[in-house]
Amino acid sequence: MSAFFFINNDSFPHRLDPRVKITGLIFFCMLTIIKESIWEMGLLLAVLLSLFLFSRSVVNLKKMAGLFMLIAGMTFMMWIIFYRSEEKLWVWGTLAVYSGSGTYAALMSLRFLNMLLSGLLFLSITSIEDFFGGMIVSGLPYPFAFAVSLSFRLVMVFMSNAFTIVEAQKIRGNDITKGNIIKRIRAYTPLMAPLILTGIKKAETLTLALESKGFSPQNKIDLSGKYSFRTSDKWCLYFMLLAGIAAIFLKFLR
Amino acid sequence: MITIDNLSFRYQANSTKVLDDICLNIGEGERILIAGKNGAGKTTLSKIISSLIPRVEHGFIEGNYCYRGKRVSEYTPKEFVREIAVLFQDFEAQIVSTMVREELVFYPMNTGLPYFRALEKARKLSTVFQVDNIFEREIDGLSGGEKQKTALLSLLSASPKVLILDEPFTDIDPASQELVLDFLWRGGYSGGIILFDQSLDYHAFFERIIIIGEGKILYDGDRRIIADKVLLSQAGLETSGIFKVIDSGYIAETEAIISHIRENNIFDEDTYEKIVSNSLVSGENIVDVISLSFKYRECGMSLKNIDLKIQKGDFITVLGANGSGKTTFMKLIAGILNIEEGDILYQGGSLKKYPVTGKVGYVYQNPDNQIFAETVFDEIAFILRMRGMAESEIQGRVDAILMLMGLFDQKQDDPFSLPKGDRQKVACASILAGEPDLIILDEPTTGLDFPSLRALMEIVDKLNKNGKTIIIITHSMETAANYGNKLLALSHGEVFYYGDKRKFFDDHYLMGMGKVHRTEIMEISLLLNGKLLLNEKEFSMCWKKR
Repeated sequence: MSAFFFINNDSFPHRLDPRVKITGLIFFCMLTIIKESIWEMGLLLAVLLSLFLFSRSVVNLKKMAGLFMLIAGMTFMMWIIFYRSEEKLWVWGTLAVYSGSGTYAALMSLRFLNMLLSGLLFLSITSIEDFFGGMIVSGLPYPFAFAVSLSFRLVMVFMSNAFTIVEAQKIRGNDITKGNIIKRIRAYTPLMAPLILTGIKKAETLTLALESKGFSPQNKIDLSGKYSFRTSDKWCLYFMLLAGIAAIFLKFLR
Repeated sequence: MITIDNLSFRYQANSTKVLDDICLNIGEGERILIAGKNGAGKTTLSKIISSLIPRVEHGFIEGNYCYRGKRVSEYTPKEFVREIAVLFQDFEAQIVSTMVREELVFYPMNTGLPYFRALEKARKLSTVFQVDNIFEREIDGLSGGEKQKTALLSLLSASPKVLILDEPFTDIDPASQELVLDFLWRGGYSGGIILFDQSLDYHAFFERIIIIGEGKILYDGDRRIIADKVLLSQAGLETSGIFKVIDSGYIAETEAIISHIRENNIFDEDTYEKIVSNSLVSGENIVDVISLSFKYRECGMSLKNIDLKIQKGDFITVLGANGSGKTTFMKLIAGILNIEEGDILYQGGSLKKYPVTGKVGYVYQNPDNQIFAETVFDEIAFILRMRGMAESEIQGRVDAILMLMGLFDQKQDDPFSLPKGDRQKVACASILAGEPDLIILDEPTTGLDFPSLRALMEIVDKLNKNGKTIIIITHSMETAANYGNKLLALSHGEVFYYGDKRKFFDDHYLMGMGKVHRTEIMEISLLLNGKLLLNEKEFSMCWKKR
C-alpha cells in the first residue's frame, strides 16, 4: 500500500508545470474562500471531482472519502448549532437553531470539503520533488522550499512506518481496522510506542541521510532543463489568472 | 590518502570506548574489507571516515584523522561529500526522495551538477545496473533489494573518490550483487572502496582485509586471514567457505584445495547415498494455494497463477531475485494482504472466509516494527493477553518460550535496549507465543553476525523438529544450504521451482532463473567427484579424514 498520495500517472494535469499546479492550488483555495453562494460551491465541487476523474486519481478520493465526509458532516453539525441570526426556528434548552443555519452550514461544509479536495488533488498529481522544484523555480527562497518539502518527507516516513507497524500488529491479533470506535482506540494504543520510537529514529537518520548526500539549505540547486513552460501551461495559467481576477471583481461588485 | 592516528571514540563522556586507538592508512584507490561482528565498531568507524561524526552525530573523539594531508575539520561539508560517499546499513532511511529518478539525481545536484547532467548520468548508471525497469517507479513500491540498489546507485551517481559501504548487500539478490561488484571492480568506478561487513563472504575482491573487534583492529593484512579459525572465532566471525571444513591454512588456488582434500580425506559413498536417498516426508497439507494471482495497484508488481501445497512439518526456503514477489506471496499466506484472485486454504478453510490471525506467524525483517512493550515479558505475553488468557497461564507459557529462545535472563529488560540479534529473537518469541502451526520468517538473518545468526537458526530448526512448519525468505545461499528440506523459487511473480533443494542446486538452468549461485562448499564438492554436497555438515560426513 502506498504511504503517500502522489499517483504516477501520465495525464494532462500530471504533465502540467509544477508552477501551474501550485498556482492551481492557490486558485482553488482562493475561490473556496471568496465564493459565498452554495451553488458556486457546488459547481466548484463538481469541477474538482471531474479533475480527479480526468487525472485518474479517484483512488485517492476513495481512500480519503470516509475522513472527508466525517469532517464535512461535523462542520455541518457545528454550524447548525452555532450559527446565529435574528429569527429562532427551534429551541431546546440552551440550544437553538436559527433561520438560515442550514444553508450556511452547507456552505461551510462544502467550503471545507473543497479546500481538502484541492489539497488532495494537488498531492495526487504532484510529487514532493516537483512541489519542491516548483517552489524553487517560482523564486521562493531555498531554505523555505526545503523546509516545506522536508515536512512532507517526514510525514511520508511516519505514514510508511505506521503501515508496517499496523501490519505487524494485525498478525498478532491486534487488528485496528475492525470493531467499534472504542475497540479501535484501544487497539491503536500499543501502536504508538513503536510508531513514535521508529519515527524519531528515522527522522534522525533522515538528517544524516540528507547530510551524507551533500544537502545543505545554503546549496544552489540548478534545475535548468527540468521544467519547460509549454503552451498548455501558459493557457492554464492565463485562465486561472483571469478567472481569479473576475472572481475577486465580482465579490467586490456585490 | 586517509590517515587515522590513535583514534578513539565514545558516544558519552563516561561510556566505554566504541573505537579504541585505531591507526589506519588507506592509499589512493585502495579497496579494503573491514569485517567484525555486531557492536565491533564498524558503523561508527564508517561514520568517522565519512565525517558524519562529528559533523552531524556527536561524541567524544580523540586522535587525528587527515584526508589528503589536511585535517578533516578543515574541509567544508560540501567539499568533503564530493570526496567520500557512504552507504548506510539502514539503506531505506538513507533514501530521501519518492521516485527512483529523483533519488539518483539528488546527490550530484547537491554537489553542484545541473539537473540535466545529473539525469543523463543517472540514466547511464541505471542501464549499466539493469534497473531501467524501476527508473520511473516510486520508491514506496520497490522491494527491499531494489531499494538497496537505488541507495547504492544514488551514491555512485556523484562519482565520489572513496565509497564507504556499510553492509551493502543484505537485501540484494546474488545476481545483482555480482552485477554491482563487477561494475565496481571491472566497470566504471575507479575510486577507493571500504566495505564493512559481518562476514568475509566478499574476501575474493579485496587484497587487504581488516578484522575489527571490541573497537580495536585485530588484524590488518592479506587474504590469509580467511582460514584463521582461531582469530576469526575470537572476533565472532565465521571461517570463510571451504576453510570451514579443511584444516590446511590458507590456500589460494582451487586446484591446490582439491589436491589437499584428496590427499587428506576419503569419500564415504554409503553416507552420501544415505544423504541423497532421504526422500521428502509427505504429511497432511497445511496450506493449499489455488490459482493465486495478485497485483499491487500502485506499482503493478504481481503474482501470477500460483498453485502449490505446503505440508505440515515442511521447512521451506524461499529464493528469488529482488522484486520477484517472495514477500507478497508470504504476506498473502499470512493473511496480511487480502486475496484478490484465486484462493489460499489454511487447514482446509479459505482465508477469504476464515482469518488466520494467530495461526500463521509472520516475523518481519526489521524486529523494531513489531516490538513495542516495555519489557521482554510483556512483549511476548501481548498476543496471549489479546486472547484473554489468564495471567497465571500466561506466566508459564511465556517463561517456557523465554527458555527456548535463551532470553530468560532478559525477561524484565527493555526490548529496545537489546542487541539486534536478541531483538530478532524477541520478535520471533512474540509470534511463537501464539503457538502458530506455520511460521514465516522474512529475511531473519539480515544484519545478524555469525553467533546471533547461528543461535537464531538453531532455534528455528528446533521448532521445525518439534513439528512446526517453517518458511524462510532469504538471499543467503549459506542459509538456504544449511536449513530446510524444500526450496521454493520465484521469478517475475511466478513459482518456477518447488521441491527438493538438492535437485535445485544441481541444476544450472534453475539457478540461473532464480539468479542464485552455489556456495563454495557445493562447488568444490562437485569438482572433487561430481557429487553435490550442500553444506558443511554433509561435507564433513562424506569426506572423512584419512
